[in-house]
Amino acid sequence: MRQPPMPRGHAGAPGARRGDDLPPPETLWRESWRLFKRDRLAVLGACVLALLLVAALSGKALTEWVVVFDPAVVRLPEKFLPPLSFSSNAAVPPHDRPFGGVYLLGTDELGRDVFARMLQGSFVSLSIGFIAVGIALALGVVLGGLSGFYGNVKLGVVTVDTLIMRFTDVMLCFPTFFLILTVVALLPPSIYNIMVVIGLTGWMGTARFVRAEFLALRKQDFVLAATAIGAPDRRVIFSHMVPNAMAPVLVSATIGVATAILTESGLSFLGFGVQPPFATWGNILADGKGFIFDAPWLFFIPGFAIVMVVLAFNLVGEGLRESLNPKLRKR
Amino acid sequence: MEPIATHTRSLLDVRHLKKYFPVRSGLLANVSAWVKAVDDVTFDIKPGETFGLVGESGCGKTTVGRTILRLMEPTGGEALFEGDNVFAMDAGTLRAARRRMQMVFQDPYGSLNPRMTVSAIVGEPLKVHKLAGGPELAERVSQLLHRVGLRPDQGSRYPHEFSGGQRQRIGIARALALNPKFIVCDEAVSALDVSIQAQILNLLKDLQDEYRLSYLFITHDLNVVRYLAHQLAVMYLGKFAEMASSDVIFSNPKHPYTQALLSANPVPDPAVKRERILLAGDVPTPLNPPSGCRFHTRCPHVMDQCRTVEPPLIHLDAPDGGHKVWCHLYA
Repeated sequence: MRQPPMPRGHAGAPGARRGDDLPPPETLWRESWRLFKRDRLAVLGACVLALLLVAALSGKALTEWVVVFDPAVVRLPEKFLPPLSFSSNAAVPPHDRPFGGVYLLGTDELGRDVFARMLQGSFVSLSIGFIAVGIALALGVVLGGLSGFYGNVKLGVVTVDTLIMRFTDVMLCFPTFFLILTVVALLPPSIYNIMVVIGLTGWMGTARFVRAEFLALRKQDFVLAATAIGAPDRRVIFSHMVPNAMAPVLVSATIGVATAILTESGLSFLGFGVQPPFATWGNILADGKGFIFDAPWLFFIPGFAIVMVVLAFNLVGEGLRESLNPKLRKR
Repeated sequence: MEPIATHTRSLLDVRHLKKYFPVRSGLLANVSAWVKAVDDVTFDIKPGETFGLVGESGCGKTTVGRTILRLMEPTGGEALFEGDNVFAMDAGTLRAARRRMQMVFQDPYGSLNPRMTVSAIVGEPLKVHKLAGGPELAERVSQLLHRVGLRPDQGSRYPHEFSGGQRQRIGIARALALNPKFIVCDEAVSALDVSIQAQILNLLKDLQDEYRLSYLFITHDLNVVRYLAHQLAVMYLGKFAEMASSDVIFSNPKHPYTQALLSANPVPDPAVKRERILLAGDVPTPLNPPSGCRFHTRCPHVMDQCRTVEPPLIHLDAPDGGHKVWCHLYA
């Protein structure tokens, strides 16, 4: 080694002042969080999403693993009870009574506990949202990345970029919802098919984002520097380009989850989505629409939940967009 | 071809380097013209020597540096680095060769990955080439940081927390990590304040003495090269105008373009009377460079043959290594 040895006591001296000429270290994520916190609405949205996550996980646990709230029990003597009613009808056997004897959100036309059904539905909605967006992101990042990084490579007469981006354009030409309806009409309407179909029709925006980011990043000196030190393409892409291209992807993913939840609710509402007896917000809403004047809670509770969650995702997405915006940070 | 004996002593031997960029237009993106960014340039760099490359913006200096390191594919010519042609290397050989030739970039803001800590940036070359790992890597990184005048405890910070001069030091540390023999400094001090420039230039000079480094020093600032360069080439629109040792160029410039450049160079002494040679007009576009001598549109000594005949290479007598000038005036 040709470097001179380090002078002793320079760095490791006890009590040495650290960073006397610089403010304390702040990682980019920490800085983003600080900026995010300034946006009250986004923080509110994040709180709603945290609640939703808790609801979805406990919903899965309490309606399937340890059945505390059973969404499937039919209690015809106690149908159409408004929220916060007590279960008092003697015709209902004791083991069919709801937890604590209270219907928090009332009962539906078959006397099922709406609270239990909403809990079950929250897990379905959220998992469809996340998995569909996961599929869309994976496809979008891979296709957009290929297009942006290896775009100039020729495949016969066309370049990789032309091939991928024209395919993206073709996919964008279809009205997504009707495409999904067609596909779902042909396939058995299971929850997994819905996830996959929503994912396969939702990657185009991400692909375009990632391609644009990659094209811009390729010209950046630090990417060139990584090539100059002899880093293989794999490393250039995954350690230098992907982390710097993630901000807009994260934003579009957040808003994508909202869209996926909305799409699933729409499908279930039309009867093409998740099939009964599985409850989702969409089919609770669809069931409730017939009783809008007799039992308005059946209609308004799932509707309100959908609005809140979609709004929360959008607020968080906007908040992220702002906080990850490099123009807002100090250099 | 010159005899082998003359270039065995060179570290880098660049011959007939050409880089043309296609200009595409029309519906099918046909190549309609070529921008000859670098058009037949030949020079060599000896071990431990600094080769200065001077010229206006857009004359092709940066392209020369980047093609030599194969960060851009050259159109023609060869670059023999320790006898091996860089332009003919396959991907694996090239990656290995990059241990011996590195680059320091112009923009200290853009050349460091904003999502990596300084230690990660400086240690990356060692990691990529599997030269060090674990505590050895940390030790080597802190030595490097210390060598370029940064405190090793600053390694856990991110690039945006540093000033321009400090960032340029980080970039130099990264370039030094692999113990290269040759570093391309592409406008390495142009983005810095004059006082910081002096510090960085001193650092580069010390490092050269210590490790017997060779530099290709690309700049538009004559005062900078005067301080650092042994050999000097003046470039105009993709071709060399004049090449000689730095002392010869500064004391006895022959090419009218060099004379004009030097007369535009400020001298920090108001008592010195200077004759200004003012060039009329702008640099012509390299898309359609002037016929004959490329400088004839702005040359104060233009003759008839300059407009049609390309100037030949004229060898003039000069101490250390001759004086080459491409001008009809001396034919």
